Parts: sequence; structure tokens; C-alpha cells
Amino acid sequence: MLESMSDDILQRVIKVVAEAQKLPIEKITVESTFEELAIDSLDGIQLLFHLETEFDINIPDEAAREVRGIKELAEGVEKLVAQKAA
Amino acid sequence: MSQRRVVITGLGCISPLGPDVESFWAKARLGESSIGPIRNLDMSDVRFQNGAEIQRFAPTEHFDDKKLIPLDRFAQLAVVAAREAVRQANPQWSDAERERTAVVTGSCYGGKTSEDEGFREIYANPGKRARVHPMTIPRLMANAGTSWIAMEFGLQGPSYTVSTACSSANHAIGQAFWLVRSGICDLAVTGGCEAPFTTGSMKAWEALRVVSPDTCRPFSKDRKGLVLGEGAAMLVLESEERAKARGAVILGEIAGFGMSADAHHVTQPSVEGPSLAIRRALEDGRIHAAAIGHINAHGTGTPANDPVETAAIRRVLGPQAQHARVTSTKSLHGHTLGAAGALEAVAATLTLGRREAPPIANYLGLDPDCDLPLILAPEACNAEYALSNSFAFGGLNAVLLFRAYRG
Repeated sequence: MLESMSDDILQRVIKVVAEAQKLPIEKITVESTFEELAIDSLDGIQLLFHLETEFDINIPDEAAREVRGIKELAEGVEKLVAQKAA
Repeated sequence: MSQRRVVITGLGCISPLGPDVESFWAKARLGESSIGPIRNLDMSDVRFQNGAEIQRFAPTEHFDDKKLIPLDRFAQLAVVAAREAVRQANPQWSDAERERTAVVTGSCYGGKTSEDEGFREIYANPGKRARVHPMTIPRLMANAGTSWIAMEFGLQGPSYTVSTACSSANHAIGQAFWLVRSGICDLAVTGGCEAPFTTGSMKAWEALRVVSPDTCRPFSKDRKGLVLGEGAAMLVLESEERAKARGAVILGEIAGFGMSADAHHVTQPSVEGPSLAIRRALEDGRIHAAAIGHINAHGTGTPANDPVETAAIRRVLGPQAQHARVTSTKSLHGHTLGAAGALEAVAATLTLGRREAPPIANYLGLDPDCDLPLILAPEACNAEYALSNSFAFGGLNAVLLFRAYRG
């Protein structure tokens, strides 16, 4: 799935995470987990809020609950962006 | 059996009079009022224009960016005040003592600023998927002050928030006092915090028609109402035994606490309710009314409160009402609602401890219905006992009894 993921979306997701968490952007990769980035549940909720703003999407609670890292986050966002466009 | 005594070993406050206790007292003792035009809000559509705002408060000087995200202004003020009080008390907590330290705060509104900002967006954009910030609930919950103080110092004892409008802080301090006196806890961090300045709240106060168009003039003729203020104050309470054993500097003592309900009217005060709360405070402290030498009155400066409070004081104190010197520091720092009793507790503690009483500001002359022995200029105070009154809308009354600590 990774190969097909939009690089544009991934980069935008990483930028949102870096800004929200005040992390250097180069520290965040597609393989980073929330645990590695010290993103706790409260941080996670705020990330979703910022991603909804960035991509103008509505992230449902069930989808949000499963996310453990950047890859899943970007994939989830990509799916929602595609749904919005459809 | 003799009761455990409860002493005050730390004071902290941030208020319109200044960012800490010493700046608060430097102005309060001289009767310098901080009331002026409200600058941080658009007041163009509000009938009154004056309030008591904290000047030059920069949250980023106290908290890092990330920590600020879930903190409404009222909780920021709570933590800032608690840090000062704890720094002064230097409680030297053991892990076991952290479990026996209470945190009890008062707040009338909770995070009104966050609620106002967030909900404005929703109501202004119906059907447009408007959202509120995900930290809105943690910001607006009225117990946020207590929670962040507990986290700041790792305090794990009984911790909660009391919301009884203008009596919130007195109820909170009284509960904390009882927790320590009874032996349930050994220490407590307690007080009140409030940040009421939002356009929505100002319109609500305007509609209630109790806010003065000019300034706060407690017990004065031609007084026209209360003036709102913001701030926080916290006290560290400790059993006398523990404070003495560790050689702490003891700033004062809480000697009694009384509560009552008017059970009468939602905004019109009664003489009976406040009288009962004062009487209960004296009984709780096991002292006679003749021992009261100073009163920090509720003294809102509304036409309704001040004569009723005068009558209540006269009823309970009897002939001593001619001698107990009365101030209302609300004329200095405004009515800070859920923080009011806490700022007044700081004032009462310093009045007894430093033997100087802060005067009422903005007084224009005698109202025969408010003929208490008012403090109208800075004066010495040699009282041993002081009352601090809080009477809330909704008719809920809470009175603290302070004692000068002379060893």
C-alpha cells in the first residue's frame, strides 16, 4: 500500500504532525509510530483536529481509534480525501 | 478533646492589583483600586465599561506552548497562584504526605473564555460543520484548576472543585480547612480562580442590572453596583503540629467555618441566611462574637447586598458590631466571583499577620443603612480574630474565621 500512497498527502500529514507536536520535521518518517514520537491520546485528538482542518475532511471516531502511527494516519486521510472527491 | 489547629504557611495570588502577593498587598494596604476601563474585550455594545483586569499577564512566561493548549485562562491563573503559595510554604512533601494533601478550589464559571470562543463559531455557522477545539471540554471544566494544581505538585489526596457562585472560594477553603482539622488530610492547597471576561458574560451581567456604571463603592451612599474582576488566590493549609515540627513560617490560622442557605430568593439576599453562616463560623471556632475585631465583608457595592450584610453583622455581633472594623477589598480588586473569597482570605491573613488593614476605596459618604465601623483610610489592626464573608447569588453563604497566629 505504501507505494501507492500519495506523497503529497504524506508530506502534508507529516508537516501537520511536526507543527502540532513541535517536532523537527526530519524526525518524522512514514514508519514513525505515535509511541516513538511521544504522541499520547490527548495529542492524538488534537492531531485529528488539525488534519480535519488541513484536508477539510471529517474523521469518524472509529477510524481514528485504530491509528497507531504516521503510515496509518496518512492512509486514513488519503481514503477520506478520496471519498470527499468521489 | 482539643481540636487540631490549622495554620496557613503559604499564600499566592495573581490579581488586578498585581502578579503576586506582595504587589497585591502593596496596593491593597493603601486602598488603591485597580478598577478601570475593560481593555481586552470589545465593550462597545455593553452598558458598563469598567472592570478589574489583570494587567500584563503573559501565559507563555508561565507555561510552555504545549502545556498551554488544554489550559483556559482561569486554570492558568490557578496554577500561577498555587506555585507562589507552594514556593512560600515549601511543604517538603513525602510521597505518603502527597496522598494526604487535599486540593480544593472554587470557581463560579470554569473555562468561560474557551467556551465562549468555541461556541461562538458553532452558533454563527449552523449546518456548516463548524468545530470546536478538541481541548474545549478539558479547558472549560470547572475543576480544571484543581486538576492542574494536583498534577503540578503530584498531590493525590481528596481533590475537587466547589461552585457556589460568589461563595465558591470560601466554600472551598472551608472544606479544605475541615479536611485538615479533622485529620483526614495533613495539608491542603486551596483557594479560587476566575476569568470571567468574555463578551457573552458581560452581556449576561448587564442584563441582570447589578453592575455599576462607574466603580465599586461598598457600603457607600450612591453606590450603584458591583464591578467584575478576574484573578486567583491559593493558600497552603497545614496542621499546626506539622508546620511547627518542620519550623515553617506560620502566616496565620483558620479557626472556623460556617455555611448556610437563604432558602429565600435567587438574587435578593436575606438577613437570616448570612446571619446564620456568621453564627455557625463563630460556633465552629468556639469563640464569642466579642472576639471579632475585623471583618472583610462580602461588600459587593450593590444596593441590595450592603444593607442586608450590615443588618446580618449587627444581628450576630450585637454591641461588638460597633467595634469590629469593616473593609471590603472588592473596591480594590473587583468582584472576582469564584476567586473572591480566596483573594479576601489573602487580605484577611495579611491584615491580621501584618497588623494593618486595607481600606475601602471609592467611598462617597454615609448610607444610614450601612453604618458599620468602616475602614476608610489605611489603619493599624490589632485584632486577634477576623471574619471573611461570602454571600452568593442563589442564597448560598460561607463565612471563614481567621485568627492571628501568635504562636
